[in-house]
Amino acid sequence: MKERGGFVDSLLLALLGVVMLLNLYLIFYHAPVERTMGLVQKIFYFHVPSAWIAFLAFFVVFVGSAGYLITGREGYDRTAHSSAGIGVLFCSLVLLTGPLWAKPVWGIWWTWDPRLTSTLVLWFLYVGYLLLRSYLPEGPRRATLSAILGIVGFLDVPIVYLSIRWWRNQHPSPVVGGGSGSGLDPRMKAVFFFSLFAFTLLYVVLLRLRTGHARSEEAARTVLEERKRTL
Amino acid sequence: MNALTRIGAIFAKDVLVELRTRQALLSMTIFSLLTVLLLAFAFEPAAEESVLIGPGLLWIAFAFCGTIGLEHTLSLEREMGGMEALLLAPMDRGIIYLAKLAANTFFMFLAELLTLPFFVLFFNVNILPVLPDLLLLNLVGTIGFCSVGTLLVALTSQTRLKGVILPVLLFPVIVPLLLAAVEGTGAILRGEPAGTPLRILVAFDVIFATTAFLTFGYALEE
Amino acid sequence: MSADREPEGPGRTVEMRRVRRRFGFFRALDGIDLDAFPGETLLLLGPNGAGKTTLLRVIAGLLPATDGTLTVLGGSPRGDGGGVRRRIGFLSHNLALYPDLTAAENLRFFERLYRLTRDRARVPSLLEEVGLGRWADQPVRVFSRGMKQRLALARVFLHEPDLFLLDEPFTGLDQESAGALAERLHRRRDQGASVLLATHRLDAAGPLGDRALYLRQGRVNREISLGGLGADEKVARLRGLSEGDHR
Repeated sequence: MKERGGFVDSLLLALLGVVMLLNLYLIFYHAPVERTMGLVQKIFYFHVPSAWIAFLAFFVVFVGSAGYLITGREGYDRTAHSSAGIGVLFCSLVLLTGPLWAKPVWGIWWTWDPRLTSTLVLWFLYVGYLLLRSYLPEGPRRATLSAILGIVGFLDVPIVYLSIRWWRNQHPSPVVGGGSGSGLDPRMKAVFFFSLFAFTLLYVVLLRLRTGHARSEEAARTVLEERKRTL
Repeated sequence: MNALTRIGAIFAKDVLVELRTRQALLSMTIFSLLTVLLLAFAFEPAAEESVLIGPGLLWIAFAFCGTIGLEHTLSLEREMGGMEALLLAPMDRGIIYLAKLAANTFFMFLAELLTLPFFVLFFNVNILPVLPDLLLLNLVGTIGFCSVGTLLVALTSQTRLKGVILPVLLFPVIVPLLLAAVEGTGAILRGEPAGTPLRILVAFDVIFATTAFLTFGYALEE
Repeated sequence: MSADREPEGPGRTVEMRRVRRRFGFFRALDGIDLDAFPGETLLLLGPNGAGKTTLLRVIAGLLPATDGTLTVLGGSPRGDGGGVRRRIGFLSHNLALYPDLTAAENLRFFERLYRLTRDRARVPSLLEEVGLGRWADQPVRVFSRGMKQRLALARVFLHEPDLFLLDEPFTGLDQESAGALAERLHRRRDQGASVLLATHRLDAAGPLGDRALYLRQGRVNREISLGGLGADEKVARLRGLSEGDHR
């Protein structure tokens, strides 16, 4: 079975390589340059898909957490932890590309755009999850406690988004936070969805790699401990 | 009801112990007062500004003092294994959660009540005409803060540096709560309706108290 | 190695099969099979770290097992425990007391927690029985180790459990108190209770035992029956069992 898994991984990796290259080509050569924002607007093809993945990854953390609490099977915990590690990276990417996009276009580094701000809070939730895990010794307890945090965090995300959106209505900012969905040229839409697909594929590959790695590391440790005991 | 008797018993015990030792309430209140004082120094608000920034500063003070208190009710059980006794008792583990939630809310709300006069003093805000609404919002917000906090402190209490990691976990989760509480407090002080923030707070309370109630037992097991 | 005998009366109080519990990579319990019956005292012996404490905690529902099956008093001790935890009396070195409350307040709190019918005389009489009558209104904080132990034992007997899970109950007790405890356990056992007792105090606990399990590295190493032996014989047998480990 390991052989087959390895084969699928290699296939996916190859596919990913192709897709990514294609994606870059499409973004820079196929998609039209935006009228008002110019070249900088192309960050949008990285920024928004990253955000979607950041939230998707957290959903996977939630599923893994709930799965672990219900069944107690470690695979769920591994998935949750792996997804968190990947999610935080995508989340950071969003927070880096956001200001990079905002400054040249709107003249300020940060806009209290509900989506961007929610992503910031999500980033802190990710960091908190990983931090908690780092303070706990490995074992069923660490898995249980971080699973609870994963669930609480995920339930919080929609509430955070809605509340920030409501809050922004109370305090309208002079800057409009980017209409990433409004009036897109059909070619732009196509490239956007392809980019979304590319990023999703990247996430899936990374998740497989990480959980696979975690699983074999766990297995190796178990064997080592067994040896130590019988000596 | 069975559950209520038990919750009452644990709550009463926590209050009784607090009355004897007076540790938590004192530290929480003083810390809250100090925070308000420091913020008053930092901002030197004139009366009109007070209504604008006052609510935010007030809730910062409450959030910090709340974080201190959360650890306390749990540590009450630590010294001679009281938590074990609660876990052994023939009842749903969620009852321990509700009792701790009640105790945390009680102490935090008390600290807030004691802080409000200072707030009035330093920020020159007249809260008397809107006191009932203000207190209601405060209470609902405090319940929300404690409903998440009581669970999270159970997650962190056995880690190293537990005092540091608790705020790191807690503050992102309560962002919606703080937004609603600050907006609501501001609205009330301006004499405007605060129905929406209050509703948000209630929804927050219900969602997280329920989640915490269901998962608290897992957090306490070793 | 479990005793395959027919239980008299209402069936096994504890049934464990292949129970495991790990902490990280440390296997505190490594495949335990155990049966306990009503009206019997089962002694748990073994060196430190053998798993005696972990075993008792798992049976009490404080620790989930990571593997295997466990039935206690016909059900599971975890979750809301329902009827199971109601009938368990557990004592560990943690004592489970509140230092800032008085002895009487501690016991009354547990009365409320266990929802025992309000017999107002129960707490005072129980305190008298363990020799703490004069200290009823003193905060536990000022008690000596032995006094705290006696109060903790009072707590265990308070709700008249059918299954006793005791981890080193004789700690801190003087000769007289130890004897009193042994006698109470003896009486309860005769009334049909099941007693699982982890101990190093072979002199105090030995005479109580009907069976003994010797644990080592999370497994049951040996099991012996002590039925029909006199008190001194039991202690001698148990000593032999423990020393056998050092060979």
